[in-house]
Amino acid sequence: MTHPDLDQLVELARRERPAPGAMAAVARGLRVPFVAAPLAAIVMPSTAMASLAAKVGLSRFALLGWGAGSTAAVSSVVLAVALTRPTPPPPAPLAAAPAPAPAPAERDLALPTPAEPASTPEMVAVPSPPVPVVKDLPALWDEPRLIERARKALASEPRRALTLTQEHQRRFPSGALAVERDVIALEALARSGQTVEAVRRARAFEARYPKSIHLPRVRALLARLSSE
Amino acid sequence: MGPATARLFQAHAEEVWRFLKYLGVREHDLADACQEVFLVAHRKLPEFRGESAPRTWLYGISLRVAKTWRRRGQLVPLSEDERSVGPSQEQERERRDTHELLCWALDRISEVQREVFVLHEIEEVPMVDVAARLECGVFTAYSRLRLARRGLKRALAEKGVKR
Repeated sequence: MTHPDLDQLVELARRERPAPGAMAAVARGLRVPFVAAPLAAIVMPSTAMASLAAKVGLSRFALLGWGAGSTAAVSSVVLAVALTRPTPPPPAPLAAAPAPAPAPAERDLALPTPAEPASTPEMVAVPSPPVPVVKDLPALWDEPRLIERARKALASEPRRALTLTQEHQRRFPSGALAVERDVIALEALARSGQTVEAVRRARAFEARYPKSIHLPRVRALLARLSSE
Repeated sequence: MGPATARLFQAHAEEVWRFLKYLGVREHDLADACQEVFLVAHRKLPEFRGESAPRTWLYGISLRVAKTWRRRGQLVPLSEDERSVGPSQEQERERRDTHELLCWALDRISEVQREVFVLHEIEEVPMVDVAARLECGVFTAYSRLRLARRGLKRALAEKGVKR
């Protein structure tokens, strides 16, 4: 019996959208205009999604007998629309809006990720104080990105990880991820054979952050180092 | 509602809706919960300084709103009425079953694990932001994610075995 695996379910969930009617009702409650993005623009036309659906076994799964339990039909899944209506007509706008809905692709681009600093067209939409916001955003993203790089380097290139934590220390001495940085540095020191320094810093960490959620990890490291 | 809230709503309402759903807000509460998120956002907008993307800011509000609704939802179990589906709605049911399956599995892991999983896996928020949003360390977030995946797989396997 086929069974949708976790990744396939997640893939479907990412594409789930509410029925336009449901959103329009919320918009009315809030007295804001809302235009549902046309389904056609969001539906993945690709055969990839169709084959994913086939793999997931949409119809077979219903036969598992578990299906009877479902809740009110508020939701509407784009994928299902794509499968049941090959060319969905774009729904009529539900309310007049001052600005047209951004295309989904644009919306995706607007989301900053560590790999891609925000170009922030969205930021413009929100009134902000006389802003360094746009200018500062890339720098804001640099910090977590640096930590992620250090973390990733830890296993294979501890020396590089250490260098990255030093860079973090220099650029963001009291950054939001300073504690993470210190833990990574500890690990990096231990892994690159600088045991004495690792132990010294681990003790300092214990003293400085007695309630840190990283403490068990640091103590485990200390125990390992002192048994070596 | 000012134009700024309207634009936030237009750009992110659907994401907020989906986010709330997978966080465990029951389907019949989703509209109200979604409305609540934007009411809070509207009220807090003057404080928003762009420390995070508007979407992740809204997710922060949603996390708190979802928590309240989830607790309420637990007190009122779904009635049989709400669960019944007419035979003519076969396709609709199939579609929903697949999505309900993930929600069902998510109900079986802890709240903190669920939050990390939904933020990172479904909403594709980078892990560092997930950690910041949930006020935990990146390592903790990763560990919760790992546990969440394990728990979900176990739940899904159980479902597969049973049926």
